[in-house]
Amino acid sequence: MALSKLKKRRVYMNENFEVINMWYINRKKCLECEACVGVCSEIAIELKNTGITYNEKLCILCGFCKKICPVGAIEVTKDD
Amino acid sequence: MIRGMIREKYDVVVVGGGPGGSFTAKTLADNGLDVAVLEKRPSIGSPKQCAEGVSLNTIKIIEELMGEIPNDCIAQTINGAIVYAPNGKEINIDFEGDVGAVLERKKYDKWLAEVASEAGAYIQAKTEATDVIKEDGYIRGVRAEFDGESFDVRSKVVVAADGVASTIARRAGLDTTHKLANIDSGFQYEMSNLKLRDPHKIELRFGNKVAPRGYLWIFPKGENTANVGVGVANTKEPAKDFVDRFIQENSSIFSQASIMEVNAGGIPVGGLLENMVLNGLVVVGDAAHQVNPIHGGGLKEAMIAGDMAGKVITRAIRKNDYSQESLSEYNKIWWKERGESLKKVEKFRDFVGKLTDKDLNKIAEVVKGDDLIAFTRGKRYSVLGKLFLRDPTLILLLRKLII
Repeated sequence: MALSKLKKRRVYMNENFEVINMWYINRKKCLECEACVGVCSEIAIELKNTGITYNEKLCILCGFCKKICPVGAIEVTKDD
Repeated sequence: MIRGMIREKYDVVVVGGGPGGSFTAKTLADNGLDVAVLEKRPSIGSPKQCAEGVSLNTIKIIEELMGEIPNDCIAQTINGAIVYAPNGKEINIDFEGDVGAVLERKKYDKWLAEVASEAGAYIQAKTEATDVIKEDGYIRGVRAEFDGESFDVRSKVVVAADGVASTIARRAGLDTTHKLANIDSGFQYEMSNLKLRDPHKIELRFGNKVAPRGYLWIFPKGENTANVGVGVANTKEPAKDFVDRFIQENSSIFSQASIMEVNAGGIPVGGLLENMVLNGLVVVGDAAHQVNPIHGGGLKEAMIAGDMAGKVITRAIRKNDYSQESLSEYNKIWWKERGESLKKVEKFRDFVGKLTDKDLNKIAEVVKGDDLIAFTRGKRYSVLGKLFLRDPTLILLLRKLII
């Protein structure tokens, strides 16, 4: 279990993407509109003064944030 | 202490400095209550997440509650609409007189906050309420943050007017999460140098290609400037793509246009809440899903609810009972004055959502601009009767109302 989960936890940043677990946000597309915050049943996403924050411990990977995002800034992948 | 001028205790703390928050705060301040408004963004009124259109009726209510609207808060007056069916057929609606306006929210929201502050409310921007303070089953204030410093602001009642995100109500224990079926994705450009058909007419476009389960709008803000946007639901592509495609395919309007602003947001279109209060908490505006389900407009609802909340909270504090039971007077009043009719609009929205492009094109063949004018003036049954006489097969569409 441990090794396969470790493989998924890649955290890297290129100029556009910040990758955390299996949830991605393109901060250059994000308009900080908070639609994602409104549909997240776990309040795993919030808009703070530093931008959108994501708490992977609370996230249940339902993908609603990706569906509602008006600019397609969020990716939620479920490939195991 | 680096935390603005905010004090530690108020009668009421309002979270959110938009119209919902300002109308609530003004009513409370007018009644002599000590109220603070916390707005997390650095500026009241910006960025806008709104197409800025209001009816004349809404303007009347604004002026009754807040006073005469300054000219700079209104971008353009509107005297009608051009509605486009999916096949491009136009229905021209000319009321021959002003029926509404497009606001300048950057000015309007600030004006509302100024009026509230002049009535006695204290407003502080760039101040985020990060959580509620809960003690003995009551909401007793908020945890706030300004310039990186955290502190408590205590109050008898907290008003959650924090918009679509609605985190305060949820942290307090009221589930106001928007279900996907009850929220649209909205995207808009504010554009200049457009070739508008008529700078005093709003344009509405319907159809599965242009705006699935919603509509595309052009709301003029001047001779050649307008908000151009969509509200859509259940789409594979993001809302933005629908606006971009529309612009590409309509060079007659957009060939020389520029983009002044890019706006986005979630638009509640239903999910009205039976209960909007807790011990020491009242929810107002988008945070309480108080939006017209068919056109997505929330400005009117936020101000009506804000005024109601202000009055109910004033009564509750004066009799020293701000329990859920006491505050639930707000639920009763809101449902009676607004909720019941919005619920009917929600059913109508469900019906319209079932209409295919073919159905809409069929309706557009029969409906004329004058019919829609008469319909909005209350002559509903005679208009429907006329339409069914023109095309009896329209009755078949009513099946979709039932199924």
